[in-house]
Amino acid sequence: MTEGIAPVLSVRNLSYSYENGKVISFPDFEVSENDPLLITGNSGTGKTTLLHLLSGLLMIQKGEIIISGSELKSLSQKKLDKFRGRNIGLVFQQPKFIGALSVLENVLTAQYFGGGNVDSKRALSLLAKLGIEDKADKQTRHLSGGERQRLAIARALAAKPKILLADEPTSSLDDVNADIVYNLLAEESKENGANLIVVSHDQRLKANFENTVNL
Amino acid sequence: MNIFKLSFKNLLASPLRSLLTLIILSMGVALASLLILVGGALDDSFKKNIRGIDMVVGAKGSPLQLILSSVYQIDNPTGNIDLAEARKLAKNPQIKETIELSYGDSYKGRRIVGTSHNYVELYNGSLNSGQLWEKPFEAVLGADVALEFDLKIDDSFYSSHGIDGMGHDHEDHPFIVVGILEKSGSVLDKLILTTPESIWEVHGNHAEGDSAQSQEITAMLVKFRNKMGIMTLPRVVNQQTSMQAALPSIEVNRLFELFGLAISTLQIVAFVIMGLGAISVFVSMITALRDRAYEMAMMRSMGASRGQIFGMIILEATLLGFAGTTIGVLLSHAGIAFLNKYANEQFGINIAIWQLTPIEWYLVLATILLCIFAAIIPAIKTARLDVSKVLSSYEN
Repeated sequence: MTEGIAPVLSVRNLSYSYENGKVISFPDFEVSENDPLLITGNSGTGKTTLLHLLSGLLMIQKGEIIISGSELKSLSQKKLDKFRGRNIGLVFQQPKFIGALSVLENVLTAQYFGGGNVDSKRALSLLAKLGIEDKADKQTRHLSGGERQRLAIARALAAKPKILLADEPTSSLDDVNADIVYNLLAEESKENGANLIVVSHDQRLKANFENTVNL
Repeated sequence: MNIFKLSFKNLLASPLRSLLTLIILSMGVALASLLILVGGALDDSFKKNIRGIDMVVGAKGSPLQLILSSVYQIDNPTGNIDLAEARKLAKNPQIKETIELSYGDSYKGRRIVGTSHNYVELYNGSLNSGQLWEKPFEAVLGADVALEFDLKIDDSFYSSHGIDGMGHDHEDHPFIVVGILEKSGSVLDKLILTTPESIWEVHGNHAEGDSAQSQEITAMLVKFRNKMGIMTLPRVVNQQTSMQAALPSIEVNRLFELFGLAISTLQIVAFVIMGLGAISVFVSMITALRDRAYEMAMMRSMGASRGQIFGMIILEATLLGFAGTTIGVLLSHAGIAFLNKYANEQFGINIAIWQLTPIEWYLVLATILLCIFAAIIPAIKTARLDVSKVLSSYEN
């Protein structure tokens, strides 16, 4: 890998046609090392579709997405799963977890499926940094809304991904909490060596990003 | 964290559903295993005791009763036959060997049989201590009888009339224990053996002049010289004498047809229950697919492959199957432990409870495979979930 020259992520000529025949074309963009990106757009502009394409949950029909030198389109389903586990951490709008597992076990599961080492020390230190280490052995349903957000971030970073993809992380929050969550995302992604990409229609976030793409 | 732990945690997370499946599975396995063990042991016990006996001659009556009373010592005798007539029959050239049995008395419910030493040989019995009976009122005890009543050599006891232990005692003639047999697993274990004269004398049937003419016995076990005897002799006896001839193999088969019907009915029930268990596994996994679709999609988004998701569901079913069969086998063997005491008394059945028979291993394996099979379709469906669709359907 030629670091500093090759972008972490580059999107070219990407478009997606839905089952109902509707086609969405996405603008080209690139993300380089330590360069957080905000992807904005109103409902119906294909934000979630782009997010799923970027994380390999949807198969690319046309165009290309290159992450750290790998073209997603050329990967088999199985390799794509592995690639996603290793390289991409996802934070969803509604933080949800595996109900059968404790807080710590949810983080460990992300490490396990991420293909890295199951490292409970690292998992615990992540929880500690996010201020929820005392909940490590609790069931996730006993967490408050804020704690769930934090756990979702810890889980997304558990397997040391190159990219942290966050889907509408702040839209349902008030100004104070939106700020807290954004700061957590920005700090933790930086500290863990992950490039932050936020997909959101939340206009408040715009001030925080130099690099933005509008759909 | 690994797939095994995830499967296990998932099962624990829905305890009621898992418990229901476990109960159904274990009941099916317990019933099937119980039937296999008891059926096999009955078969064994009945076949073992007719070894070497081709025909039984006794008083007219039910042939099954004659066989049950003379061979297995579990029914009342059909009556007595004239010893002279029996001995006349024994001279038939087709007959190789006969053993005369006189019974009808008992000691505390254990039957006293007057016979010759050949009866012990028939079942390959051997002495544990003492010697075989020679004179009237010398008694040799079966292993279980000696143990049960704590009788030793030179101890004495009185017999009582009838075989149920409820008759009046014969108090004039004490029996003396002269020998105790080794346990043989045959009918010998539960008998008290003595000379035929002891039985006659107890009943005041003093045969003056010692002529066999006036004496009676209860039954005679017959071994043929060749298999041709089976074709002709029973008919000859039944038509031309006042005695009855019965073939143990035929009567036992008839008995097993009756048993067999009950056992097959229960077997069907067992298989239906096991089928329900499999359906329960299927339903459990299908509902899990519905309830946990989002969790599965989430695991995929974390990098889990389809194979891992498939494996996780199959592993859950395997764990259920494994736990179900383990509990089922434990239940059936606990049942056997109870039954051993009762059935041993009745039919001479004694089943080892601390080991699995080969058929039981097959049962265990088949049940686990059945569970896996029931989970395959739900597992494939879960593995093929459209992750993007599931995730976005929950987002909005």
